[in-house]
Amino acid sequence: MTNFEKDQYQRDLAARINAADGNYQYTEDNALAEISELDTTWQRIKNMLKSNKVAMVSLIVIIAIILIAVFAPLIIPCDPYEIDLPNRIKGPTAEHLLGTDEFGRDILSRLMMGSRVSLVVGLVPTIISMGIGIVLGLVAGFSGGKVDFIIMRLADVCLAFPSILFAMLVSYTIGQNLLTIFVALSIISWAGTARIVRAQTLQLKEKEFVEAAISIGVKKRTIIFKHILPNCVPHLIVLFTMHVPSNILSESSLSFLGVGAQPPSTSWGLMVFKMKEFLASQPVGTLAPGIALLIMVLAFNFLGDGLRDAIDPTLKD
Amino acid sequence: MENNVKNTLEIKGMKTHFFTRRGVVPAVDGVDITIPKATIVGIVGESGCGKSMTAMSVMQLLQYPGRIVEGEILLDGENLVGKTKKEMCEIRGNDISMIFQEPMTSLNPVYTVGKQVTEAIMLHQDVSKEEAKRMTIDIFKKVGIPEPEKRYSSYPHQLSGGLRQRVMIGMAMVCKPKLMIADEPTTALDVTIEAQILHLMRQLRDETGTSIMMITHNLGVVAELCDYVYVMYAGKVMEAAPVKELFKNPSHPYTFGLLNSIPKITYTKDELYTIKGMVPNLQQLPSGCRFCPRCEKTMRVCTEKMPELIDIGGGHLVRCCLYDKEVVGAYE
Amino acid sequence: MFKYILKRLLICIPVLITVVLIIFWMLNVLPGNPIEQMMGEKLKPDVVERLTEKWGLNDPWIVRFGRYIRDVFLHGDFGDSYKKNRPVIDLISESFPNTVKLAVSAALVAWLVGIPAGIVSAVKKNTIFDRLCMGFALCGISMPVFWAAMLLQFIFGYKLNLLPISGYTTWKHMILPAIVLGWSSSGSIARLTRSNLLEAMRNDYIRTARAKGLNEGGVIYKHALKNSMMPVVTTMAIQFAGLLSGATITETVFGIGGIGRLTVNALQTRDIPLLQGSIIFSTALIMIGNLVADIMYSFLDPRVRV
Repeated sequence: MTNFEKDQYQRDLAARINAADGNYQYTEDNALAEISELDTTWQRIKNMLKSNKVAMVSLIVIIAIILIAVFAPLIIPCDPYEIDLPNRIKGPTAEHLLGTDEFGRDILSRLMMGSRVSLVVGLVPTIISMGIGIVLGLVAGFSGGKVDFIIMRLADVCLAFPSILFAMLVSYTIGQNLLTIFVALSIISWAGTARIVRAQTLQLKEKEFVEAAISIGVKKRTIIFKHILPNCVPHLIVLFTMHVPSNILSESSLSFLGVGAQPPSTSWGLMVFKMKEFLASQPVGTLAPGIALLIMVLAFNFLGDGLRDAIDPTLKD
Repeated sequence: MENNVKNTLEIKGMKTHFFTRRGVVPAVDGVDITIPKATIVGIVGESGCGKSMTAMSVMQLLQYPGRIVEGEILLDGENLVGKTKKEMCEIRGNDISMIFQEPMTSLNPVYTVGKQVTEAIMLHQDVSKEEAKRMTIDIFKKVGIPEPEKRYSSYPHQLSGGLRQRVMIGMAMVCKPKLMIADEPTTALDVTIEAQILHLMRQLRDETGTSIMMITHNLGVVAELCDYVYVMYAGKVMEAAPVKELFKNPSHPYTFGLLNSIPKITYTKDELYTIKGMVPNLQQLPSGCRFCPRCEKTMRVCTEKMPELIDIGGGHLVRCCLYDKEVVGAYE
Repeated sequence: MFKYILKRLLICIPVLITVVLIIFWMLNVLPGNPIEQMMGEKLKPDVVERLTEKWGLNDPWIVRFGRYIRDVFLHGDFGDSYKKNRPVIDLISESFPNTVKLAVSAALVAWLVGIPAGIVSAVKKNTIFDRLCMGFALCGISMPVFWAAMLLQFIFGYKLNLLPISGYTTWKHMILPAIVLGWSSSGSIARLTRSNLLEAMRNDYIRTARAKGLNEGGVIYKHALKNSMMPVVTTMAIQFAGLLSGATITETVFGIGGIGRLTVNALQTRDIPLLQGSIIFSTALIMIGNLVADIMYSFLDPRVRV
C-alpha cells in the first residue's frame, strides 16, 4: 500500500537538489524553450489549470467534496446513525437513494458524513507531518554536524517503517480508533519532506545571496522565511498533493482492517468492510463508498500531476 | 552541376519555423549558405539568432514543433529536404556529422567512450567488431588522445572536458564525413584547451578535406579558424564575407557592433562598446530591417523595407540599406 | 565499492536497533499485565502468575528489551507466541513462503505490465495509447486495493465461478491476488518508466546518438532506456521488498496465510511476541530492500561506481 512513486519522487528530488550546481548554460535551445518559462509559480499553476482540463475538473471535484463535507449535517437526507432494522440491506429506493446498510441506516447520508473523515485524514496528518519535516529539515540543513546526523538517521528509521504496520503498532498502544490513524500518519511520513528541505537548505546556504545576507548580519529567521522557504514552496506543493491521496487510501485500508474508525462512526473503508458480505443482495452498499474513494483519490492525483508538470519543469513533456 | 560539385553544402532559401501554441516562430527565415569543399565556414551571431537551428535543420534533427517549411539543402548536389527518416539515418554520422557545445553531457554516461565511437562505425560501415575497435583506437590517436587503448574503456565522467571533446571529434570524423558541423565546440572549454581543439580541427580539415560548418558566437574563434564567415541576426544572414575581408572591412552595423564589443588591449576606452537592446522576439519582429531598432545608423527607409543581400565586391555580401544604391541615391 | 557497501551495512545496524527499540517500547509501555489484556479476566490468578513468571514479565521493560535484543541477534529467537504457544520464528517461516509466492507473482504482473506500458506511453507521447496507459496506471495507484480485490472476487469467484476466492493452494488461487496487487504496483512502475524515459530523451547524448545516424528505435532502446531505467530498477527493488514484507490487505481479503495476515491476527489477539516478531521481520526486509536498491543504483551507474 505504500506509495512507491511518492517515495521515489522524494529520493530523486532530494538527489537532484543535491546535484544541482547552478552551472546553467544559456544556449539557443534553452532560450527558445524558455520564452514561456518566465512566469512565477502561481502564474504557471493558473496557466496549467486553464489548459489542463483534467486538472481543472479534478479541482472542481475536490472543491465539491470539500463543500459536501463542510455542510454535510445540513444537507444529508436522513440521520446517518438512525437504526431501522426492518429495512436493513435494501437496494435504492426513493427514500434511501443508495439503499440501506446492515442496520438499516441510509448509505447516502453515511457516505456524505464519511467524506469528512477522508478529507480530514487526508489533510491534517499531511500538514502535521510536513510541518515536522520542514522544521527538522531546516534544523538539519542549518546546523549540520551531529544534529544533522541524528535527524537524518531518525529519518532513515521512519523510512524503514511501512506506514500501515506503524499504524497497527500505534493502534496496539493507544487503541483502535481514528486518532490512531492521525497519530500514526502524522509522525511517520515527515522523512521525505525533511530530506528535500534539508537538501534545499544546504544548497541555498552556499548561494551568494544567502551568504551575503548572513555576512551582513541578517537574522536567521529572516533568511529562513525570506530566502529558503520560498524556494522550497513549489516542491512542498507537489509533495503535499502526493501525500494527501496516499493518506486517504491508508485510512480507508486501516479502517477496512478494523484498525481505524470504529462503528458507529462512518468511514468509507469501514463501510466497504461492513457491507462486503451483502455484495450479492445490496451491491450499491459496497460499490458506492469504493467509487467515492476512487473518485476522490483520482481527483487529488490528477491535480497533483498537473501541479507537478506546472511547477517542476524537469518533468515537463 | 559543375558548380554543385565544387560545394559540399548549399543551403538555398531555407526557412525553419516553430509552430508553437503561441504562434509561429520563424527561427530561420530564408537563409542561403554555401560551404565549398575543404573549407571552414563560420556562422556567427548572438544567442537566438538561428545559427543552431540552421545546423539542426541541415541534420534534419529539428524537434517538434519545428520544421523546415521552405528551401533546399544540397549536400554534394543532393537535396536533403524531403529525404525519408531512414535515408537521413544513413547520411547522419556518415556524410554529415556533428559535435556539440557541452562535451560533458553529449556523451552517454553509461557506456564507455570507445563503445560509443565503435557504435558510429558499426552503423555505417560493414566491419567486424575487432576492426571497428581498431579504427576507434586509430581515430583516438589521430585526435590526440593519449593512451588510446586505455581510454577506449573509460567512461565519459573519467575524462576531462578537453579529452571528451576530442572523443566527440573522433566520433564525428571516424566515418570520414563530407561535412562536419561544430556547434560551439569550444564554448565550454578553457582557453588553452580551446586553442588545441581549434588547431586539431584545422589539421583534420587539411588531412581529410572535410568541410566544417563552425557555429560560434566568438569572433576570436572565427578569426583563428575560419575561411569564410556568415553573420546571422534574427533568423537571417546579415553579412557574409571571406574572414580577412570581414575583419578588415566590417560593413553591416551589426557586424561592426559585434567586432567593437570585443575588449581590446591596444586602446583604452572608458566603457566597452555594447550593442544596445536585446535580440528581438521572433514573433514580434519589427517591420523593415530586423536590426533597425538597435542600429545606430537607422534611416527612415530602414523601418519600411527589409534590404536584400547586396554584393559590395570581393565576395562580400551585406544586407543593409546603407549599401542599397537606390535608397542611398534617393536620399542624396 | 566494497567500502561503500560495508558503510551502508554498518549504518543499517543502529537504525535496525532503533526500530526494534521503538517497536518493543510501543508494545510494552502499556501499564498492566499483557496476559490479562490478552486473555481477558477469565484466567485464574495463579495461572496468570505462573505465565507472568514463565515469560519474565515482572522485570522492567528495559531489562526485557536487553534480553530480547540478545535473543534476537545472538540466537535468532523471537520468543514464543502467547496465544499459539510456539516459537514466533516458526510461525513466521511457515507464513513466509505464501508471502513470497504472492510477492513474486504480483511483481511479475507489475513489471511485465508496468514497464512496457511506460515505454509505450513515452514513445507514443500524447497519443491515445499514452492516455490509455497512464489512465490505467493512475487508476491502479488511486484504487482502494481491498475494494478492487472484493469486486474481482465477486465477479470471477461468485458470479462467474471461474476462480477460487479464498485460500492459497493451487495456481488458480494465485491469479486474482496477483492481478489486484500487481495492478496497483504496476501503476507506479509505468508512470516512473514514462517520466524517466521522457527525461532521458531530453539529454544531450540523445542528440549525439541521433547525429550519429541511429534510428529512433536504436536511440530509445540503446541510449535512453538504460539511463532511464536506473530509478525504475531501484523502485522495483524497494517495491519487491515491500511486497515481501506482507501485503496485509490482499492477504486478508483473499485469506492467504502470509506474513501480513499473521501480523493482523497477532494484533487482533494482542499476541505481543508474535506482533513484535512479525513487524520487526517486515521492517528488516524493507531496510534490506532499500539497501539493495542503493547498491544496485551504484552498480548500474558508472558515475557512482568507484
